[in-house]
Amino acid sequence: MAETQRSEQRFLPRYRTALKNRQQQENLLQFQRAWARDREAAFADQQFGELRTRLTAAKNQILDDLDGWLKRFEDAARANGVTVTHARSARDACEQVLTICQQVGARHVIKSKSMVSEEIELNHFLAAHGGTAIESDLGEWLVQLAGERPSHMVLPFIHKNRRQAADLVRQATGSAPDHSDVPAVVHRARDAIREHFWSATVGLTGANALVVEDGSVLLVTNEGNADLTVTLPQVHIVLAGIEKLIPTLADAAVQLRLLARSATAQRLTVYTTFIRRPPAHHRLHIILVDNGRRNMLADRRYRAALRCIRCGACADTCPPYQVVGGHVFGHIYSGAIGLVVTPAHHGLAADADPQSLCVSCHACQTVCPVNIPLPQQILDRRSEVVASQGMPLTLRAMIEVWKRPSAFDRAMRAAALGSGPLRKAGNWVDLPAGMSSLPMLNAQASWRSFSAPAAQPFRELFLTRGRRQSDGRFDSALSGKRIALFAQCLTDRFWPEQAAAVTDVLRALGAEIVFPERQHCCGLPALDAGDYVSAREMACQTLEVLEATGADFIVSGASSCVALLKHDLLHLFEDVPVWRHRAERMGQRIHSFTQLIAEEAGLPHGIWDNGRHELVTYHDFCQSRHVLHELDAPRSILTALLGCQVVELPEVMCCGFGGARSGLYPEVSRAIGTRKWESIRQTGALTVVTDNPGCIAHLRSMLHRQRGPERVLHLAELVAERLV
Amino acid sequence: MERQELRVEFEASARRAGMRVIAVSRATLTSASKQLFEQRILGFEESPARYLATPTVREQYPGLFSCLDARIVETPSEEVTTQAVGLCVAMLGIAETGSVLLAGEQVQERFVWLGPRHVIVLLPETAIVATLEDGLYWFTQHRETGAVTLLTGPSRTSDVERILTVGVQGAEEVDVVLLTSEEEGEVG
Repeated sequence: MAETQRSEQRFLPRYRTALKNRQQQENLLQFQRAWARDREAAFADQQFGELRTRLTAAKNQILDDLDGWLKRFEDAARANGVTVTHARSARDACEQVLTICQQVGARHVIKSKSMVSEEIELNHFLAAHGGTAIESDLGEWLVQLAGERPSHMVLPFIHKNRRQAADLVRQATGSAPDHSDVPAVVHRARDAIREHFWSATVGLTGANALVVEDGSVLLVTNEGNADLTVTLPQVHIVLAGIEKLIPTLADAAVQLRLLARSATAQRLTVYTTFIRRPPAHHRLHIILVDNGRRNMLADRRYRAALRCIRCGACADTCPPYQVVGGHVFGHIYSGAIGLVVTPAHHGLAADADPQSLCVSCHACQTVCPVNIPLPQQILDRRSEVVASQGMPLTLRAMIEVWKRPSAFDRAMRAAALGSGPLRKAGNWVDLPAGMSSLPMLNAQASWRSFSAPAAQPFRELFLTRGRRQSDGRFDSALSGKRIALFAQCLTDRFWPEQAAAVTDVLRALGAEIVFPERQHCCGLPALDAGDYVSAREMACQTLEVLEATGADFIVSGASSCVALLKHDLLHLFEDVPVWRHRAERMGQRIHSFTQLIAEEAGLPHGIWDNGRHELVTYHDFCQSRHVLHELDAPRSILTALLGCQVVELPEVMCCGFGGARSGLYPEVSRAIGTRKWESIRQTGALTVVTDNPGCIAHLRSMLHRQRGPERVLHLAELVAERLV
Repeated sequence: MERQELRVEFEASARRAGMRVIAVSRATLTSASKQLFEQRILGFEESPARYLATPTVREQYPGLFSCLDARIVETPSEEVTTQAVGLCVAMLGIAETGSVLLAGEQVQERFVWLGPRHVIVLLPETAIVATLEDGLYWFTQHRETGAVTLLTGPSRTSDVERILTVGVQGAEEVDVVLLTSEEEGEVG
């Protein structure tokens, strides 16, 4: 617990400092936008999916028999005249480096970028023993001068600006060109770093890969500093994790195709070097570092993370990372992969707060060149944190109420009554000016309005509107089908009009709608909170209720629930075969509203076209895009059935809702939401369509506060407009 | 892929990577004088202080090595490097990336393409292969080679506010002299 408190004390000041770092936010924003565009162009002539399947298979091959491959690599490297040793811990690795330095009488080590050396905190260790490690990568050198850690695996200095760079160079060298001339500052830094290459006896690098076939070490840089590091000093030390093996040079070629494109959107890095042997009279040591990796290998939840090639793509596409940067979103390893591997190397406490920033948008897995299930793994880490340290009290209280249908019902009815005096048109609640000026409330309420529970939940509306039969105004393949509606707990209570729209559309298509009255919550809030026990309990109740319907289809207008029922439950029930089987069967039966209309309804072109060609933009709910892969379905409904003109958003990204994250980190939620609205407004569309109630609520909450001219609709609501 | 197609693709890729590609016939290069090489082929306005060459240049292009008064780097130092131009021979060119494959693990070889700010790479047109895999296959087949570098442009960084700066630790300029078998394009 003491460890946790220390961690929290460190985290919150870091978080607050990062929120004030506009330079970092601007740098990361510009980088993320350029990276997304350039990465797409860089992969235009490649089959990303095929390449990642091949590299994933190659890395899995290694992990399936790591000791065997290590033995083969060591034999090949030793045959090349290389010394290979193993280090079980960070301290062991540091001591081995120190011993080598002492053997050759070296006090100074020149380094090229090595995340493993950061992981084991080698620079501090050497300094404590009278030595000095000088970083030779420009960004790393500047970060070292600043007394900080890299904030990004590929762009270590991205959290700072040119003025800070010039100041650091001036401090280190006694002079520096004006900060406005960045190339001149860089060249001055280059001259200073060059001196260290000449004076160092020992050069230290990481490894981008270790090739088993011939025992070679792969190093890639754009600056050329790694090549100088391995060429000029007489001793070259490679610090590499044991997972860095790759079977063959042909596999390494696949890795290279993916690595440069994923990291910097280049076809190939400038210096791509394979080292088999050291130069004559030089020595090459390879230290293979475990430091928690074997524990990951033995844990099937995290084993796939050992496939990582450290490209940084998961950070480059991460919305919260753009807001807070790598010193907050991670520990020493940053980005999504950092949230997964940190406990293995630095303990769970180091991950306790950073992992809570993840909004589970799944964009990281989509761009990962080795298809690591990062969002799932981050949730697993969250569940470990919750199991060992509990969760924030407010969240705990919320889940305890939420998982009990009757308690939830009472709480919602009380909230509906209690919010009455503050309620405005459309069930919006704005806090009184006096209250929202309080700092704690200001962060939550100054930029958005809140939805109050509707006076009448959908489950009552469904009854009062009568168990109407289908009107069948439109011929469809759903005519005569019995469809069970899973409304979603929040839609039921807060936005019943969305569930009503789904119902109206399906009835108009001739379907019979049933509403299982015992339905409550699929378990997503608990899963998102890392409370797997409660999530399973809630999921079991939902499965039982939905299984009992006997309907032809089960449909939900809440794609988040559909994603959970189709995918997350398989993992949640991984060790409970009976429930996993039931979850698999449910996954086959449940449909999102979007999928049902696009794939099952069999509707003719232009059925709901009013001839106005309404200009709309479509926001892909993150999991609809990255998990359910429903990209074409909503667009085909909008264009082919409704005759809308769809303008694509310039940025594909989260809206900033992220479930409880928007309450835990309102500043992050606000920043992402603002970025989203900027993207929306670039389209010129006044109608924003999506199919997930959480996104709709978040976007509407900002829109209402801004009094913007746009409207945000569930796809079912837009279709329902065309029924009359 | 036909040789001409490979060459066209290589030239386009190499230029995209920031390298200058100058086509010259092997016969012209073999008989070139210092003045012809520097002024007519490379377009230098001034002669560099010195040329640092790899042993391979001396072996394969002794006339050029001699007329340029090039040196093999016995003991590299910053003083030796200052205002020197590196001269080396590529084993291969990779058409899809525009890379040149430079082989050798010895300091006197590697320093030639790592140390100077300006590097000239001699590449026979017949040594252009199509893909990265083809290039690494060469390394697979040459077990005696201790190291290879695929050089794809001049050294660069975008570490400060993502502003591209060329010439950081390695070369600021990389010229590829593409050696053709025909009389063509001596002046690039």
